[in-house]
Amino acid sequence: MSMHFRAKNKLRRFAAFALTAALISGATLAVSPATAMNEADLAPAGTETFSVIGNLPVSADGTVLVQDLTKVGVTSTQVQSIQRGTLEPVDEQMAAAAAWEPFDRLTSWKDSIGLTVPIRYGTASWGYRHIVDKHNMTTNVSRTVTKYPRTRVEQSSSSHVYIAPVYLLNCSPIMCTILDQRDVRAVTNPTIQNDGHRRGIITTYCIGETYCNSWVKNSVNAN
Amino acid sequence: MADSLDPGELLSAIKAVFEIESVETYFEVRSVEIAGNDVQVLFEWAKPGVLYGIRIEIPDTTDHPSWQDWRPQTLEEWATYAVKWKMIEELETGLLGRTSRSFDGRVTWLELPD
Repeated sequence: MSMHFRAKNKLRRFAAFALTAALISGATLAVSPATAMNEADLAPAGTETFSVIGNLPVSADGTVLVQDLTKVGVTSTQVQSIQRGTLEPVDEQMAAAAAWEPFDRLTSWKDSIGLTVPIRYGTASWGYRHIVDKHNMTTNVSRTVTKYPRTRVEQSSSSHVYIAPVYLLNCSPIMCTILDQRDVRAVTNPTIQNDGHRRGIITTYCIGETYCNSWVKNSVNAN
Repeated sequence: MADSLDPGELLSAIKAVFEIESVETYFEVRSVEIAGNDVQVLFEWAKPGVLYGIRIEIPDTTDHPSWQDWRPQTLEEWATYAVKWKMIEELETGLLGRTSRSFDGRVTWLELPD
């Protein structure tokens, strides 16, 4: 990768972060490229800002060790990139293009205890269509929340409920500071359907907001 | 051919699913009743002492849009998702701050989005 491209990526990441921070703080000023450039010049050298989903060990002073990111599915290659300051931004997922039926299974995975969780195309009320259109979520957020939850409760024969924290972090090569946090809830229906597979993801959403901030779905371990 | 659905059985299923504690937020269901074509749920959310109400149309047959939307295998499944989790999801994602509401002197009635 050229230095120019790397610098551009870094600037793009910082601009996204600055915009997120402005939205979080309720600021009304737009972040122009020029402003971002000036801010980027002032940003601490050798740090990376990104989000990550999952139940991380957080110390009493609100910091996270970079090495602990692997506990929630961040790859060792990504950890090395964080430490080198060369982490690639996560591109937003594209919506499913084909004409799906509600019960069509898009994909499936194992949750934190090894139970298979599919996601089906669904309707405006449940499944993929619901989480994407209403809550700005992705299949991979649902997957990561159910794989690395803080809590997983089997509430009934037809509902399993997970909560996972999502952190916006600023990391030096060793240590991360938490800049912001959301809790994401996922609800799954484990009953077996006529096709022999579980119903799967019903919903996934950020607690406290209808349309979740994009830094949640762009988490490094949700791709 | 559509099967008819018994409102009494649907009501029992809704009451049963609300007996399961589901969220960390203060959420107390005070009553669940059938009123016309709707189920009427009175509850307290987040703050004790403030009574909210929500009305959700109940299906009379398996052709009803709400039944078709969920296509559940049991009444319990329909009650869990078309009533209980629909309410909780809306409440946890800020329903109180964005929906229209009307106060009848005792209950603050909330509109659920379709």
